[in-house]
Amino acid sequence: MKLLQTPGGRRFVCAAAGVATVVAVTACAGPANGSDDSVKIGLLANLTGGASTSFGIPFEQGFELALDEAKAQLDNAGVTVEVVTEDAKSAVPTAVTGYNKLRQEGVALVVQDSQSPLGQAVAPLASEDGIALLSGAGSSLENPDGYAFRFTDLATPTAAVGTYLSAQGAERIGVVVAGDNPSFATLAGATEKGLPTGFASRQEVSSQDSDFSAVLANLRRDRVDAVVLSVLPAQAGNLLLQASQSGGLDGVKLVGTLATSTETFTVAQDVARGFEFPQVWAPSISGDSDFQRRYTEQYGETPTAYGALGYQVGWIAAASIITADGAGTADGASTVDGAAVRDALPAASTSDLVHEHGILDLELASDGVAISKGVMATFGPDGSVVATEPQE
Amino acid sequence: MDFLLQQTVNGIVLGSAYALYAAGFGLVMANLRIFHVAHAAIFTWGAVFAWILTDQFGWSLLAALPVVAVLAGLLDVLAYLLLIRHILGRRDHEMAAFISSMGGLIVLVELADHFLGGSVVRIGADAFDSVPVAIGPIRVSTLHVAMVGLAFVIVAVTTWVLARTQWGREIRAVAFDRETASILGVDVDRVSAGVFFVSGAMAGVAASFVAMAFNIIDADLGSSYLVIALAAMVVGGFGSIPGMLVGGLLIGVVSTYATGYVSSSASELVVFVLLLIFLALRPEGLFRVRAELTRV
Amino acid sequence: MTELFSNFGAYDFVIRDGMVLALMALSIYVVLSAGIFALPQVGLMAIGAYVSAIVSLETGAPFFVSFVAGVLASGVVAVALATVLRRLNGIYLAIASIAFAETVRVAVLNIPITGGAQGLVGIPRSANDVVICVLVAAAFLGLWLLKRSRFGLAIRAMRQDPVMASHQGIDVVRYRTMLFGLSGVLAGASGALYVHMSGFAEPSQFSFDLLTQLLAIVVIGGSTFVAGSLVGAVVVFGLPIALTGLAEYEVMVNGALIVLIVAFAPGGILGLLESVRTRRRATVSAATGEHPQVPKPVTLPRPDASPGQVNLEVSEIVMAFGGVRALDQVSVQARSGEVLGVIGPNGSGKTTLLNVLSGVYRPASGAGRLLARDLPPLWGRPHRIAREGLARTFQHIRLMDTETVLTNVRLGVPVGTGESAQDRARRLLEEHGLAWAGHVQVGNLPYGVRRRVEIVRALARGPRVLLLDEPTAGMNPTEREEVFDTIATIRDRGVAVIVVEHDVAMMRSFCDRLIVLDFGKMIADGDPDTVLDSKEVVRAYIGSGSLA
Repeated sequence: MKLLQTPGGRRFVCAAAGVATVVAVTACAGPANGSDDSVKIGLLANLTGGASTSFGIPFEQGFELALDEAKAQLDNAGVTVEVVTEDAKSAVPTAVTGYNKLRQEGVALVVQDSQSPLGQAVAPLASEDGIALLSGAGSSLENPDGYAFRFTDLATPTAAVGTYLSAQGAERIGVVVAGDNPSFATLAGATEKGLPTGFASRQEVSSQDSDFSAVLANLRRDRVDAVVLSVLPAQAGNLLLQASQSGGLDGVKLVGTLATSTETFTVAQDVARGFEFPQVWAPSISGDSDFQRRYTEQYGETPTAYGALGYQVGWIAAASIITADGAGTADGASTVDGAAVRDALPAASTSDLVHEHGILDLELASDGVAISKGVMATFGPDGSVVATEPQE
Repeated sequence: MDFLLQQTVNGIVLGSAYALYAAGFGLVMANLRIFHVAHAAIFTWGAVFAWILTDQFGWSLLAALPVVAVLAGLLDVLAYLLLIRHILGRRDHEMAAFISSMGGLIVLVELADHFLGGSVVRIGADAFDSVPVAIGPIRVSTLHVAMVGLAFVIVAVTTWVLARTQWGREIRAVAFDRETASILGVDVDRVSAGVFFVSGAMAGVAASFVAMAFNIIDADLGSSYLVIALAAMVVGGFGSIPGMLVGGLLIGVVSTYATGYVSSSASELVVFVLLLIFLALRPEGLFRVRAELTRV
Repeated sequence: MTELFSNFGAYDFVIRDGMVLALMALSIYVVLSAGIFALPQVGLMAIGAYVSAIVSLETGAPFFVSFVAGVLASGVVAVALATVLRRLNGIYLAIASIAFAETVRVAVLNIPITGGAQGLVGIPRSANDVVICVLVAAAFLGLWLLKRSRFGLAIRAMRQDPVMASHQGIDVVRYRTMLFGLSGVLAGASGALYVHMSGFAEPSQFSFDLLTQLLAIVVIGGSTFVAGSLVGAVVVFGLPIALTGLAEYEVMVNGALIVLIVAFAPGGILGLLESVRTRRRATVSAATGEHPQVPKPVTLPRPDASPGQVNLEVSEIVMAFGGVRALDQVSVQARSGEVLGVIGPNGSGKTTLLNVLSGVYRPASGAGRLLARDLPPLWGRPHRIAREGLARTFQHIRLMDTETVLTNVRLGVPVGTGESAQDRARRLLEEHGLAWAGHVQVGNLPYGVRRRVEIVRALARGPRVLLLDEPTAGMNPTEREEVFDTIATIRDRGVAVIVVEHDVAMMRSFCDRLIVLDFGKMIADGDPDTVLDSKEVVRAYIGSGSLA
């Protein structure tokens, strides 16, 4: 139904088939592997385009902050790490071009913030080139040789929501899911896993829907006592509003998913007060953590979950390089290549170094899947996302 | 039964929004034979105008409505002058006008995107004091009632204008045969601009209500309803304004039933398949207006 | 050796992407260049992409097999779509075809085997650079050759004027179906290539955005040029580089560019270049100055038709438009070697009669025969009637203004005459004293000459029945004489000629027989003098006040 999509869909890419000059210039630039024996990490971030504001930019900020802080540890271990950043521009061709440039730079690890198609396009290339890939893709990736890792665990925090609702006494739990978006379909499936009896009502909507009267009528018919809103953030806000406007769902507990964001609050305003949803990470309203304070100092804004993810992934990357370098020294060689990083990543994600400096639980498994517990969050007075205080 | 009744009412509310969108779209399409896709962007901008007036200036939605209508109408006239006017005389004007209008759509949507900073905004709840109303087991709100009522009023007024006024007769003359109308002394250019103004004004009004009722304004607001509006137009019959009301309501009810009894993504499929069936078997829609003749 | 583009550094994927999209743009070019306003291509591409991806993944078939499967699937769907939508034209067709593309996208999201919104990954990346290059080059070469063929000429005629094209024996519906099929094959090929190049398929890629980008490529390059897709691709992909630093305005600039191109250079960049070139050539040909008026030699042998035989006959034709009877029980016989004149006041149904005879309209009732053929099954199919030996000219000249005289006449030459179309056209022009104009664009010729070109094109069919709708309108007396002389020559070769004219005096002296129409009824039929002196005819003319 939707004709023009703002994010991601635009394929007006940024390089020319026939512009020989540009091509020549890049070709001449060639593989620019420096003489120093620093280890290069490629950051393939969506710094412009549809995915930049929510994902690419905060992720890049968190990542840079982590590597800045990790400098001391890296120096101690005798490794120099250089981060090479390429803009993926929220589109497949530009992402692959960016990846190719990173490969020419001789990176051992590519970190990519979000967007399934971008990850799907880059994963087979990285696997072929023997470069480790740490991606924020929501969908599964082609991964024959174990080079591709996803740091997004949509499942665990969402399954926790199901458990959370059950614990609160909800018996008939419904879900509204944006079925045409891979992430939300995954989220809904994950929530269902946390339920003893499955969903009492499952309502599919499309990412473009804005009238939910039919869906709400279905939910009323199914006499649910709690509903998980596995839809786009603005849609979640809209659902909250329309549920309150049309009535009939009073006393029904509505909860969000990992995707819920301040946009939900922009739409629903006061109606969204007390709305709970899981997040990978959320700033606490009372005590500022060190990370929160430094991030705010550095960038003039409170970190979002994606900023926190960038930070965590930054530390994991640093730890994996240290481990890989250590393994290399034992063999008497000093090169840290993609395979070494691949082998080091799972253990590095739960290493002491990451536990000490990281701010969230994120465990990478060797099959490329991540496990991350997450936290429950709600909206603060100004509409920003904050962690819910444990209520006793 | 209550459930069916409730879903029918929901479908009618949704359908009246489709109908208002389709009526403006169809007015241009029926009378000037132009697939003016930039109408979707006019719709979006109508919602943006409504947001500016209510949210930034604190007007009520009803006070803002006439101003939004005029602004959106003027924007559509501008679109006519910049995108369509110079193309009408060409032999392949149907295709050229579509492509030109598509270029305009891209520009206008991008402008809206930049204006809104790429984010979603909404019209505050205080712009229209909507109260939930329960009629027996059925739940509606005063806003919904106003939407349906407005759709009927606009359709009635437009039908009357087209049928009874001198201006309406001129529009129909231009629709029937542009060249002959101009020979008969009709100022074709002025009539066309007028049609675009009315069409844009309808889009503005429809967009204001849609933005108010469905809470979301972003750059893609108009585009996301485009194919549905096309379906309403085709089912109702291109030339007929009341037909488009019926088409809009039908599509609204059908898609609500599909959502209610199957799923929302099924409702998209149902609407598209309905559209294809109509186009293949009955392209003149439910209400045939005039036979298409091959002119030699 | 299969990684040709790796020399282009990091841009290899973008170049591959651009090439596959240029191939995709060709699938849009194929229908737009024939004047068919249909945009189902993104849906067809999705079908080609998913079918080939699923074949690869499920059966492990080699690239060639899955590629062919994808191409066939989308080609077949395209032909089926063309059949379902055969009654639609203009904006209806555009809407229907866009709805089709959206339906495919929504269907892909809902069918389990496509992986739904998650898409498909792990598709073998077996489309290497050599394969891409060969396929894209083959497509461009093939379409370029096609454009130069008779098929290409027919397509140009269809674009400019489908009614005229069908009177040259071109089956517009069949050509349209074939072009849909071709468009489907190209779209399917680019879809199959794309997934086997990138290794994944994902439904959001086949959105309306892709269509707008492709349309931009085709329109900016020039929608009637095969190479337009390449030129457009270079501009659309290259522009962002020129605009570095304005990244957020790229899309807007593309939109504005589309508007400007449609407004000021409808032929796109290549059209602009061509018009500059032809303008230069036109000045040259204008300088050659006056054309000689060659007398027409009569060299053609008379056909073996016996004089007086009835070549065309219709009886009791009723043709109604929304309750108005434009023709009411009209019966006409046209005999070989005879000029039959049709006169009548304005709106009496003269042109309607010719449209019935040539098959544009399907009468409500009536019977008819063209040579040995029963007519009613052919009504509504002018191309069949044209192939049976009927040719006509039109009240408003219907020639391809941007083509040369020779090309226009060539279009009239039927297939399988044993003589090359080019030779035959040249010979006919020579016979009618128009050899000098052979390479002049029709649009640059004076009105009277164009009328004569249209008559020559009709003669190129070697017709047994010739319909002339106001053949001397807008001509000076000398030119009229010449045209009527030509008509006499045609008649003498045994052709049955039907002429519609306003000039009653001229028709009286010239026609062998006259019929008179008034308000759709035939009020007289017979020898010109007798007919024109009949009271009823005089009343009809004086009543309408337009006796010439």
